[in-house]
Amino acid sequence: MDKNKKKNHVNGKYKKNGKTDNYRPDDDVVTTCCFCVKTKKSKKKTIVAGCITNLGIFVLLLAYTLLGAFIFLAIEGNASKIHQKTLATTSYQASDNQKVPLSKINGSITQASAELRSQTVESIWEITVSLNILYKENWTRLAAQEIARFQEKLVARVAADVSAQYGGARALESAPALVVDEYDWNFAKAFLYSLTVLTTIGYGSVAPKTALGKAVTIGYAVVGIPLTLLYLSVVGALLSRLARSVFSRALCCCLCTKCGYCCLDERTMASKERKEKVRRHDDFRNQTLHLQEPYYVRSPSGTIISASQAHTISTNSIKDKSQSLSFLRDCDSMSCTDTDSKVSLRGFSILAPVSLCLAAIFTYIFFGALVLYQLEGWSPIDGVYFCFMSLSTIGFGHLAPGATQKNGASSGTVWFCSIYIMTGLALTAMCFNVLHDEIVHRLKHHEKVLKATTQKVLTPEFLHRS
Amino acid sequence: MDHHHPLHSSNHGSNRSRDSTSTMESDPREKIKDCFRKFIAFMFTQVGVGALVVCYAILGAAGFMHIEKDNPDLQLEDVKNWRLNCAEKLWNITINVNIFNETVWMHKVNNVLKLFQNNITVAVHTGYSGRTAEDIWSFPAALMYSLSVFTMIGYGNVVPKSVWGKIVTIAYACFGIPIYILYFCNMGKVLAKTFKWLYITAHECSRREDPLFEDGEIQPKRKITVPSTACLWVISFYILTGTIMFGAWEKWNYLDSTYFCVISLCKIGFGDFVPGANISDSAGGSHLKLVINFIYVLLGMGLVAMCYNLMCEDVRVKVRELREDLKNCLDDITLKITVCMNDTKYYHQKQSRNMK
Repeated sequence: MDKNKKKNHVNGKYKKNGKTDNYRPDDDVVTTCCFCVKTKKSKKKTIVAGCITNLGIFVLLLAYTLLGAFIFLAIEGNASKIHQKTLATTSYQASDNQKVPLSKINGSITQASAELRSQTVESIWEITVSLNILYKENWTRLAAQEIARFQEKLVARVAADVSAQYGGARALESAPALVVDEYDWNFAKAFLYSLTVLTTIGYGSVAPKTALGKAVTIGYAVVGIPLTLLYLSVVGALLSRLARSVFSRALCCCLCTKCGYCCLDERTMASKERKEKVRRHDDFRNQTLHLQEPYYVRSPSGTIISASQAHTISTNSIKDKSQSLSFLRDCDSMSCTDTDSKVSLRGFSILAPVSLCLAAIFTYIFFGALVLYQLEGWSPIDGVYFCFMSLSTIGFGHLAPGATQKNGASSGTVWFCSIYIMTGLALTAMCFNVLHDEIVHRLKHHEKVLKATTQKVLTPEFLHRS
Repeated sequence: MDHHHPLHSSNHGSNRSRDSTSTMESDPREKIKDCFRKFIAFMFTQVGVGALVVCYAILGAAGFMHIEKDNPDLQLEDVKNWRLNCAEKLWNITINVNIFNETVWMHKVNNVLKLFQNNITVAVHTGYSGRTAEDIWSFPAALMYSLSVFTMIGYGNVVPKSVWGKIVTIAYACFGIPIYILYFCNMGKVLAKTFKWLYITAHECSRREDPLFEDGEIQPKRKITVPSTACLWVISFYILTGTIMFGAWEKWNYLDSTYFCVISLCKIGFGDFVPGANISDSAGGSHLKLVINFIYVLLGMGLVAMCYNLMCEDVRVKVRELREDLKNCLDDITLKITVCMNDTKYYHQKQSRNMK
């Protein structure tokens, strides 16, 4: 509708008697009735253009992630081999507790622990010797105390050693089963890592250890995050528009078959608006001809509206006035709420996509949890927790893929997680957009209702006076 | 009469509006609605939102502390069992081996202790730190945890282990993230306005000193946008502050501190560096550090929001200018081409006429 207004203004064609408007009858009806679908060429063009931009940005993002994967694999993959030789590689077999197989402990720690051990042995010996009669409980208690002391010192020593080697207070309280596994950087893990950096999830179970890796991460993030934000905003807008149009079409199909509710109303609405528009046109042309900008841009500022409003109040009826006022404000196709019927339709058609989007997100999370249950054998709660943490970009990382298996995750799980994250974020962006539009629309609607009621109170009173 | 009407009706309109609003306000329901609306408007201002965020974080911290404190930690139980087993074995050795044979006894005891040591080492590598859930989930740690949940940073150095903890985390995030986004947008707007005002004042001050413009010329007031470089400087300065602060406190080298600051402000939050969460640190000193970190992160997020706002505006203006420039350029080129073509056509016509 505003496109037609624009066209009229630009071409300077002001028809006095409005029969030969270039206002097409199916403008309003286009997105609402599935039977009278005649998508305008311009709309199709915008959708196609949107898709192409979206695709372009997506490809760019994907290329950037792959590039990052290669870089990080090169940097950290080499470093990992060096680390593996010097680390304390203890392989913990969950099945047999008895045998703790060969632990190649670092030289210094072996020394320190041997010292602690001999100290403890000495002190236990002292206890044994000092007691004349050995009672089991007594002796055991004292021995346990000594062992506790040994344990504390040992823990402190090992922890200090671990943090010195890993260069920081790594989340040892929540660390996965084996710290060593982190160092096994294959391409899938590098890809997941760069993806988590870009999407700001940041699991942390796979983190850069070398100084160069950290510096490169900083640079990579600073460049990549705006790109990701751009991608998400574009894809979110596109998807939300798509979802809304699909939904309103489907809804109208359903309603049409029932009682022709939406189609009929739209048509009557459209014809009414056409008549009003024609009448307004003349008045407005006279007033706005000298202005630089088209009137519909000026409408938010109060002055023009009030002048025209004052002028037209005396010459028109109440109905026309309320319609024209709200008609002249921000009348884009989605939020033009003149009469109640249209409001209710619009409100209804916009509310439902919100619940639909939320339902879509829930299904997606449960789907992810199910697949992870199949692949990794996680409990459902853990699966849902992990999926939710990833989609909301919080990303704790203690349940990250591959974290719980000894020999590193199967690449399949890691790739699944990457793809899941990418599509999930697009979905989240769409829902966010839909919610945002809904809230804005609601606020505007409330504002309009408020103003309409105040003016409806106004007009009868001084029309009586005049 | 027609011309009289606008003034007449507008005056009456204003009178009417005053009357109508006064009549409206006397209605108690309207009064309540008005109050409610004012309250909502206040909540949407920066003070309200900031307070809301802090309250939400504190509430979350208390909640998580309560949930996770009583969670039985399996690893602690295991370690305790190992200890008791070790003591049992030692006892068995003691009563079986002839007590006067010191070396044999010592050797056997040594082996048993070595076994115990290996178990403990493995446990430490898998996350055991000798601290109970109560120690881990102190109030500052829980505060950092709830902060990292709703700011979507997600450090991960402290995580809920109980089922209830995980469920509550999900619900907490669902409600906390919108609140945080509100704070982010609001803080960004406020800080952007302040910074813009500062920048414009500084700009005008420097211009006023310029003698050329004092001649009473009315310089067309161009809309001044804060350039992106200024925003980048502010962020870099903030990161530098953080680097120095954390480098001094945590004894990290400067690269690690910068890495931590950037990763936190970008909301990535690996969690391999978290100030005040070092295992070998004493519990007492880390409380203050965690609170400082909390404030640093929140303020940092505000600054990031501000830069985002300002840069968006700047980019938009620049893109518009660029587009206009491009259009002008294109117009010039087309004009030149048409002129050129016309000239050649004219020239050819002249030639053909001359030849005739």
